[in-house]
Amino acid sequence: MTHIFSEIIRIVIPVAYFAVSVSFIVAFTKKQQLSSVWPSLFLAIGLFAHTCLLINILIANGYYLIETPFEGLAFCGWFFIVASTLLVYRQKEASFGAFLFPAGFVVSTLAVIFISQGPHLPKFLLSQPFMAHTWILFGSYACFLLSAIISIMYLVQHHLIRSRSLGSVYERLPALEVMDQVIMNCDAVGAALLIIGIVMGFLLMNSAIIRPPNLNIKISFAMLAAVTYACEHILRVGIGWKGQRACFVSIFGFVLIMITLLSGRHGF
Amino acid sequence: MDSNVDICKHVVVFGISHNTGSLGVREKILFAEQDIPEALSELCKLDGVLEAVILSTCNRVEIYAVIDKPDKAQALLSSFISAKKNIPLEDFEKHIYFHRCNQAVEHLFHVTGSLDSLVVGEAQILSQVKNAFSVARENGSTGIVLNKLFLFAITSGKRVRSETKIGKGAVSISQAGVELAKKILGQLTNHCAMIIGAGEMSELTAKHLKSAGIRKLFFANRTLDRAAALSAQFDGAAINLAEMPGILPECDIVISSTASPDYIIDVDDMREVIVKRKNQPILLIDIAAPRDIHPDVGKLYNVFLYTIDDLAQVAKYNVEARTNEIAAAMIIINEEMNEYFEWYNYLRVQPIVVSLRKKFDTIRDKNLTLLAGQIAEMPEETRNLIKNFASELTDDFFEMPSIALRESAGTSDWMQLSDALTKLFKLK
Repeated sequence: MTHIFSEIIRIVIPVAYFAVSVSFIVAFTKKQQLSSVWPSLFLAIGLFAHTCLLINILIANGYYLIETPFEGLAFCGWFFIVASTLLVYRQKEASFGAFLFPAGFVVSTLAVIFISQGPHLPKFLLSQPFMAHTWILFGSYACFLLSAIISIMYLVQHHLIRSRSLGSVYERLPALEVMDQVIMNCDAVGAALLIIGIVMGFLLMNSAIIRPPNLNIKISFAMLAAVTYACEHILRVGIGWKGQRACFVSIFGFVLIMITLLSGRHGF
Repeated sequence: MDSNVDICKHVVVFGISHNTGSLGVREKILFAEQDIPEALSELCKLDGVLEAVILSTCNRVEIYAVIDKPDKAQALLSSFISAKKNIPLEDFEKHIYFHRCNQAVEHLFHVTGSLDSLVVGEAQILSQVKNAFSVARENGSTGIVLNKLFLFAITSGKRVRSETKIGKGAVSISQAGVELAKKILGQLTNHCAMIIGAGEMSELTAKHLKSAGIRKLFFANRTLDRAAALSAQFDGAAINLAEMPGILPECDIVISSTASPDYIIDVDDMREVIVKRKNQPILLIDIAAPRDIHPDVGKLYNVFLYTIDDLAQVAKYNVEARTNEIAAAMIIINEEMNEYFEWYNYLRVQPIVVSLRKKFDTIRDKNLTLLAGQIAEMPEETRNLIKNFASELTDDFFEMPSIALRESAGTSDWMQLSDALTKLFKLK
């Protein structure tokens, strides 16, 4: 892929996602279901360009190891947009799109603006299992971002129903039960991916003869987040911790994930 | 029905609605569904009545007609109703409204747009108008004017419903309760509901829940007979109040409207229910006075308790929201009405336009016949070219006067222009 083509793609992605976000926000404010073809078209263009960008990096480097945080954001954004698209079109709820796509736009825009080459990785990390490890983890982060946003939507709707403020925002937000189900599914998928990612990480450390395993901040918080999400799921299934409490746990879990993300590289 | 329309034959509407007469008055002149075809035939036999449609619902009884002598229409239709229903004129006369021409048309557009309904934006009226029109059409009591008028009015009503939010939001207590349930539980097809008490409110709520697709309905009442009657009507299950605590954990929606002086559900009962339900959300709607459910029940986790006052507020908010849509509805109604008037006005000049076209075609055909001998030897392609040229020339000559006539149809110039064209081209 030529450099010019790559540059065009990096412009198309934010423009297309911005158009999608605006369309969904307008549909939300006007209390409409999406009947126009334009948002879907913009979404298709954005996703296509985004996929091309990821493939371009993969081809150019020979691997996609998510060397820099913004490379990670590009993948996380792509995964998030795909998951949001599936959710919005499956649930036929424009209101989900009005909250999710702007978040997807921000993540993806940050990624394409700041995407750069990272420092060269140690040789033992240039492997497919390490690539899978990072992909799986960033996939789980996308799931948790989605769940955290919908948890906020849930809490707003819950507050409106409890306080009898049954006005325009209440009318536009989806049903509590629908949102709770989505949060549960996102957290379950995210937690499964996170646990797999962590286990893979330990196996990789083991194979690289880093003994004892180096429990840095990144790993510690990732493990704490995994335990939080696993507990949430167990409490949901066991004693029916549904709704508001699950939302708080979900948001807390996402804070842990953010600390994991912002704590930088592993340092080995 | 004669399809030749004369401009002096006017559209009129004659009737009594919830705005002008009480249910007692409306009942007296109401037409049962099976009586309407006969009434239409009798109406059309009256002197000067060319077309007629009878709209008879619980909120209005109206006769839409095209009448030769509109000045006498009110008296004529009043006598018809009096004779048909066998009631003295003075019993309903003061409740009558009568509109002619534009006002009559406007009235029908307001009716189909549900602006004239008891509850603005209600959905039933449009299908009732459609039904009244189709009965009249099947009985041959409509003609060119009412056919077009009702088609325009029905289209306008559809547009008002689809392009504005006039029909959105629950406007009754029971409907508001069901809407709230949907906002908490999502689709109701996988949920159970219990209705405690078997009064009119319970029946109404059951109706709304059933139409929202609720999976199962329980009817709990002190006397099982009434609960059994309701359960038979709505395909539910009747239970005694004593059995209620055992069934309650199965239910996601509980609506209570009994006359009990004490609480039927208190905090401890509900705490047990919540444990058994593993914190699944439950919506409790207490529409009884005095209250059936202890107010503290609403403080429990995942219990949503609403009272009649809360729901009345929702209904009030929605009524206001619908009222705010009237201006948007009026824009659509005016657009559709103008199109109808344009069409109606065109009927006045239509005979002249048709005659003029025939005249031009005759001139073209005559000249082509004269030319026929001279062009017979020419190749077919050339002959076709000449014929096409003649047709296009005729079309071009016809276009200007026909447009001028159409445009004049809505103004006072139309008669002068028609006379001029009739004299100039010796039209019949």
